[in-house]
Formats: sequence, structure tokens, C-alpha cells
Amino acid sequence: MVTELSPLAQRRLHTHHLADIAEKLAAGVRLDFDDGMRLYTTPDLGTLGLLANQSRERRWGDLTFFNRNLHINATNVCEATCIFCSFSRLKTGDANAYTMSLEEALGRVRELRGELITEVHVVNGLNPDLPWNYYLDLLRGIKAERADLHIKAFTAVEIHYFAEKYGKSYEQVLRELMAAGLGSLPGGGAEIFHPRARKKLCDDKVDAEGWLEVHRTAHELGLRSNCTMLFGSIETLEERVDHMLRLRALQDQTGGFQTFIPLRFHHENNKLERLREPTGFDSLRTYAVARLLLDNIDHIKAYWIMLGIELAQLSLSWGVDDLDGTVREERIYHMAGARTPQTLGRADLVQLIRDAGRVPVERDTLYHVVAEA
Amino acid sequence: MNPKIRVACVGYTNAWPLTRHLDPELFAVEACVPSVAARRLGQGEADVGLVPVASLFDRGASWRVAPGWCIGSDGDVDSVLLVGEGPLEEWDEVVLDGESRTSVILAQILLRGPLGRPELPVRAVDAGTGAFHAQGRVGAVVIGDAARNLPARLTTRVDLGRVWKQWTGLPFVFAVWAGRPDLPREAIDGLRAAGARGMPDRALAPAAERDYLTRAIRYELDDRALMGLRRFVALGQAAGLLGPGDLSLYGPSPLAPKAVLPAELLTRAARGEPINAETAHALSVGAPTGELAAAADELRWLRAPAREVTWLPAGNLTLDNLAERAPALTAKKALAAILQLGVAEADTLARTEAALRTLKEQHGLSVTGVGPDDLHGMALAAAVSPEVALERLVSAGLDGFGGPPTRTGAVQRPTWQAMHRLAGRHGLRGPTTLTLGLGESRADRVEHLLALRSFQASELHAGRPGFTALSVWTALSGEPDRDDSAQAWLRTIALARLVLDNVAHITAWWPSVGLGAAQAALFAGADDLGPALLDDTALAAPGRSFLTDGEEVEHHIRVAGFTPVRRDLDWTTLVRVTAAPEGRYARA
Repeated sequence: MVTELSPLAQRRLHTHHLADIAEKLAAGVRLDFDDGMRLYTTPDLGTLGLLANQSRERRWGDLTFFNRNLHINATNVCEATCIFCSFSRLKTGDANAYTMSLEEALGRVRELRGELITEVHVVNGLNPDLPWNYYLDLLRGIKAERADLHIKAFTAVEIHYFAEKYGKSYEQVLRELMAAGLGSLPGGGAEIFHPRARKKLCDDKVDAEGWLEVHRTAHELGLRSNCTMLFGSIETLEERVDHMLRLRALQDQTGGFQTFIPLRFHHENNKLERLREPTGFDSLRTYAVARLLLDNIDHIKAYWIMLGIELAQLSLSWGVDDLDGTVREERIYHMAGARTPQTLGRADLVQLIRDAGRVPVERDTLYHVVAEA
Repeated sequence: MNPKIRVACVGYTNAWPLTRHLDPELFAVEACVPSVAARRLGQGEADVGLVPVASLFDRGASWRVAPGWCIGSDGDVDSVLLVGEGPLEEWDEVVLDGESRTSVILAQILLRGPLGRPELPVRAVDAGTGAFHAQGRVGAVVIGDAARNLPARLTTRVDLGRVWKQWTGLPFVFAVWAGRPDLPREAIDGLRAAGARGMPDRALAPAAERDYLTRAIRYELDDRALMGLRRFVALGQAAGLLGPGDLSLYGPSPLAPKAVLPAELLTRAARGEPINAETAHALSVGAPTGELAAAADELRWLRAPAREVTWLPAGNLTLDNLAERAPALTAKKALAAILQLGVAEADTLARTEAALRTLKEQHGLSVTGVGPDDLHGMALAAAVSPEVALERLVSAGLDGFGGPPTRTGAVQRPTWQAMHRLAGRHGLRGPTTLTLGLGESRADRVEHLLALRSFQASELHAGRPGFTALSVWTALSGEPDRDDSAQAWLRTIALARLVLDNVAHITAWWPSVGLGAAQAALFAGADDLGPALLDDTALAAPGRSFLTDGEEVEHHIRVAGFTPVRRDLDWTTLVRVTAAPEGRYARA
């Protein structure tokens, strides 16, 4: 019996044939693939939200996390040809291709000297023209500029690329980056693990096994990381559930993932313009299903930049407990047509969370409380 | 009564503003030197202590920092100095006075950094003997009262607070309140309150101390101080001078008690039982959003059992842009035009009549948009009675009554009521609105819904048609005290469904919040998305581009699991759109 829900809500669980899943959740029994599919396909978004919210509140009550960070996308030159991407340019010299000099990249950190950001998030294209030292120098430079910043940098796709290009093992790559200041790995590049969808989306970048192996290695070296899923392009719901379960299986072994971040597909300026973008309905049910399936991952994060702040706020009732914070500069989604403002002030974000009846907590990358909200 | 919180704190001058007002009912205070305070905390003999920052990273320490106050500096601190007889460039060695490890680490970081003597050997000496050792080519770190009463021979005096500030631009934090992770909230609040009471007392200190306490010491543990603290920790750890670990403040608890779920009220409301004012207010304040939405959704299926969502293909236009906009609307297969009238002038009535004839006869559109204030205003401006004005509009073809969104409280206005009654007598129907973010309180919104319900009841009782729908708008003002966010909008939609038992439809007016949020509203009591084809930027908040065409609206309805239905002004003609348009790859 799920006691925290009203009798009305419990009756609705029966009406929508979700009562057995609710009982599993209450008893701490792990959900399986079929449960995931039933949750995904339930017509009642509201009841799904109630279940996800219950799971969220059991973990975090009303606490809603955010952080203040700086995004640096140092280059968009990228050898990979992922068809959903609006950011990358194949070669240096292509129209709109850019690669920041170290001085330029560090200039972004310097500009924010006076702001209480606690993290810098660095994600780049797979640029064939950069030497290995570029990345090490970038991290060292950031640390020299702002020793207090946690550096969350390089997706598993980049780590894999570094290993291949510079002839190192994942472990070597990670150890060298850690010595230069790497603090954790972001969760990007996971896209969809299932080989059918992955072949269509991004055939020439690291496969599911490689992506997971990079994170396993990072976790074994003591790094925490995040994980993502690109949803709403050409994948099936089954492939989404499969994706989440692969992440859950690795997490069982390492416990190194902090946060799962579903990334909504944007269709402008890429090869999938013919596709509709996923709607709010799809975003909300994806957060909810993730919260319920990923019982071993602490946080579910909504990235308001791609969702719009209104839907991001509503997502706090569908399992989300973390809003990606006051991003300073973001190129990847804006090149794909995201129209949300690029920055949201801290006070605005705090207000947004309070207006949702939640309690804002400013965190650092590793979820320590940074300041009073 | 709970046992008192055991506090270990420093007896130094600079600590007393933080400690003198510690509530004796709550705290048992023991004064000691900083290193002892840290040790007591570490051994579990104290619950919280005013401890040197360096001790937070002692082996095994897993303390949290209390927000609010610290002992810090923002420039000259006077009491933490590097001293020597000759210039720093000529020193061969620095002795470190063991009394304050934080200051010693600061000195080492600064010697390696901005002071440019990274190679200088350092040696620890007994606490309080720094000034004694500073002779010849030996410099020393001196702190506290010793630093403020130096022998004249020590002519080199480098203020480490100043060097830190010049180097980093940040305050420096020497000591913080830190304690065991599960320190009760009342203790954390009590520490803050004591500091707040102690700050003004600095003015009462003896003259010699007053300047030190008000100028040299900076007590606020604010954003800048926290950044200085984090920088120091990171530099200290990178240099191997501080142990590993992360800085974490006390935060709110996830286990904060929740309001009691008004389960019985929700169940009764969901069954469609009439809701009194008390219940409406209780639900508005106390029902969690998901539960409130669930109850409203139950009722929605009772009131509107088909798995359908209506919308109105319509566009808005003004008397001035009508000629240009009307053909565009018909080209987009709009069924209706919504007039936006603005402030009435003498000829507004006549122009509206003419507009009605044009729109009806030449473009075949139904027309609405005249609201109670419009009618009253244009009658007054044309010096005719509202009855006459309305008769003229009706004979020119006016199909519905509505107007711009109303403020809460409008229902109580006699003019508002009189104009609606008048329209009702002519059989004109239309929606009414509840707009969030115009300065109303949550209670005002509930009262507005209750007043609308009463008015609707009296209209229906009198045999007049009443409102077709309630449309919930939000200004999304972004003002901190207005609570007009998407969440408030969703809750109000749910509440409207539960309270307004005599209004058939609840419209989720979405242009300000987006169609994604509107999909959520379809599970919170809304069964209608109102007019669309509203390609008028005035209706979208600045910086947003939520305006869209009918196809987008229908796509959003469809993927949320409903059949889109194109309706007219009063829901008499319904066109179900069962097939998705071809040529687009339709997904959720």
C-alpha cells in the first residue's frame, strides 16, 4: 500500500493499471523492462507524475538543487557526423567553425572572476587539429585562474577519442586529465545506446560499450560522473527503457553516477529538421519514468535551457530534483534553435523553485551545499 | 527538554560579537583557544565550534559550516602579519607561530604566490613566540594581540589580509562556525541570530577595539566570503597544506514535515460535490500539485467524458489592422475573429459596427471580443445607453461576449455584472477569465472563482446562458511576490475545475507558458486550449516565441493522447480532427 498518496490517487493507480507497479515501488522491488514500458505508455501523465513525485520526495523531500557554472565549448570542429547535431563543423575553416585559443577559453573564466560560480563545464567537438597538451593546458589554466572551480569536463565520447588519437588507455587519459585538474565527467554523448538507433544517429562515435567503459574506468579512479539520454529523435520507447536499464546496470557495479539528465532533441540546423521535436508531454513522462526506473541514481536533472523555464518548473512535479543552473554561455542547444534566454539569474531561479512550492539548495558539482538559497 | 547544544568557541576579542548573545537556553558555551575548539569538536565533546578554517580538513573531520557569520577580513586585518627586521626579499627563513594554522597556511600560500618567495624555508615555533624569533634574516608569522603590539625593531610588516585581497580580490575567512552534520536547525538559526544581535554591539567596544572590530574584521559569510573561503581551500589543498575534503554548508533538510494531505477534501471535490469557500481555500493552500491535479482530472472526466480537447481556430485583430488581418485569418481557416478594442472613443461604437459587418459578410467569420468594459466604455463615449449600444452591435452581427482578461475582483463590480447580464439577455455567450500576476493574492483568486460561480448560478437561474468557459491566464510577470509562474497557473486550472461546478469548460490559456505546459494542464482539469492562430506578438511575453499555428496545437493535443476538436465560439459546432496531417513524422 502506498500510504503517502491520497485514496483518490490510489484509486486512480488501479484505474490506470499501475497499482502493481506502485506496490513494487512501495516495497522497494526493482522495476523491470516491462514496468518501464507500461509507465512510458500510460495515458495518464498525471498519475505517472504522482508516482515519480513520491519517489522524488522520498529521497529529497522538497529540496531542489541548482548550481552556478560556466560552460565552455572550446571548439565545434568535430570529426563525428552525428545527424542530430547542430553544433559541430567537420573541419577547421568550415563556415562557423571555431576553436578557441587557450587564451580565449581562459578569458571566459577570467571574465567571471567576481561571481560565485563553483563549476566549469567543458565539452567540445572531436577536433583532429588539437594536440593532447591543449586539453591539459586548458585544465591547468583554469585551475591557475580559479583554483576553487570544480572542472567537469569531457564526455566519454571525447575521452574515447583522446585514447584513440593519442594512443593511450582510458585510464591513462583520465589519470593525466585528473592530474591537470579534472574533477568529474559530464554525462553527454550517451545519446541512445541501442545499436539500431545509435547506428542511425551517430555511427562513427564511441559505441554503448565504450561509453559505459569510460565511465566505469572513471568511477574506478574515484571520479563521479553524470549520464544522459538524447530522447525524441528516431529512437523507440523500448530503446529509451533499454538505455536507462544499461545505465542502471553499470551504476549497480560502480555507484559513480550522480545524476541522470534526459536531453530533449532539438531539430533546427541539423539533418533531422524533418522530425518534430518532442513535446512537453514527452519530456515530463521521460523524467518520471527515469525517476522510477533509475532507483540507484540520486538525481534527475532538467536542463531548462532546452525545455523552457515554465516546463522546467513543472518538471519538479514529475520526478526532477535538480535544475541545471545559471548557465552563462551555451552554444550547443542554441545552435539547434533553443530560444530560451541564455542566462537566468540566481534570484530568478530561486524564485522559480520557491514558486513551485519547493526548497532551493545551491549545490556544488558533488552536491555539497554551497550557500543558502 | 532537549540537552543543550555544546559550543566550543574562541575567547578572542574578534569572536565576542558572534558569541556574546548565544542563547543560554539553547547553548552551553565553553571558551577555549582555536586549536582546542577544533579538537573538542573532533572528539565529539562539542556539537559546534567557532573553529579555524584549516581544521575543517583535519583527518576524519566531516563537519558542516553554518551559514551567516564568520571571522574574516576584506583587506587589512591588522592581526595577521609577516614581520621582520629587514625587507622580505632578504629573509632566509620564516618561522610559523603555531597558534593559528589557518594564518600559517595563508602565509605559505602567499609566499609561494604573490609575495614571490616560494623557496623560502619555513619552521614551526611555539605559539606566541613568533615576534621573538623574528630577528636578522628571519621573518615570522605573528597573529592576534602579538601582531598588534609589535616591538619597534620589526619594521617590515606585511598584512596578509591585504595581500590576499590584492591578489584575489576576495575576502579571507579565518574561522567559521562548524559542527556535526546533523546539528538541529534551531541551533544553526541560533548561531545566526546571536551574530545578528552582536554586530551592533561592536560600537560599544572600547575605542581601541572598535576600529579593529568594525573595519578590520569582516563578519559576513556572504557570497564573496564563501568564494574567498573556497579559493583558500582549493589553493591549500593543491599545495598539500590542507587535507582533502569538500566544503559543505548546512542546508535545509529533505525531511522537513509536510502539510497534512487534505485527502478527504480531495476525494469529495473529485466526486463533484459542491465546494464551499473554506474547502476551496484549504485546497488552494494545502493540496500538493499532483493531488490537486488528480482530483481535477477525475472531475474533468465526469464533466467532459470524451477523450477530446477543443480549441478555437481564431485570430485577434483591432479596428485599425482589420483590413489587413482579416484575409490572413480566413486564409488560415479561422472560424472566428476576436476584436481587441482598447480605450473607447466617440466613434468606436460605429467603427465596431462597421467592422462586424465587414468581418461577417466579407470574411464569414464569427466575431467576439467585446467585453463588459468595452461595451460600457463605447456606449458612454457614443452617448448612448449600453442597451442601445449592444442592440446595435448585435444587429451588426456580434456573436459572443468576452473581452480582455479580467482582474480578480471584477465580478463584484456592478458595471461588470450589469454588462454581462445585458449580454446574456441578448443570448450572447463567451468565456470569462482569471488572470494571474496582476498583484492579486492566492486568496483573491479563490474568491474570484467563488464569485464567478455565484454569478454564473444567478445567470443560469435567470435563464440566461452564462459563461461558456473559464480561461486561466498568467502574466508571468516574474515579480518575486506575484506567484504567477507556470506552477501557479497549473494549480489554478485544477482549482477552477473543482470550484466552478457550473461552468462547462476550463481553458488552459497557453501563449505565455507554452504548449508543453498546456499539455500538463490537460491532466489537471483543462479540456480546452482556447483560441489559436494568434500570431500577434503582443500576446507573447518578450523573448518568448510560443505563438504557433493550429497544426502545432493539434499535434500537442494528439500526442498527449486526446483527439483535437475545432470548436466555434460557443461549442455548438465541433469538428473532430482524427487523422494526423500527412508528410510530417509525428511523434510524442
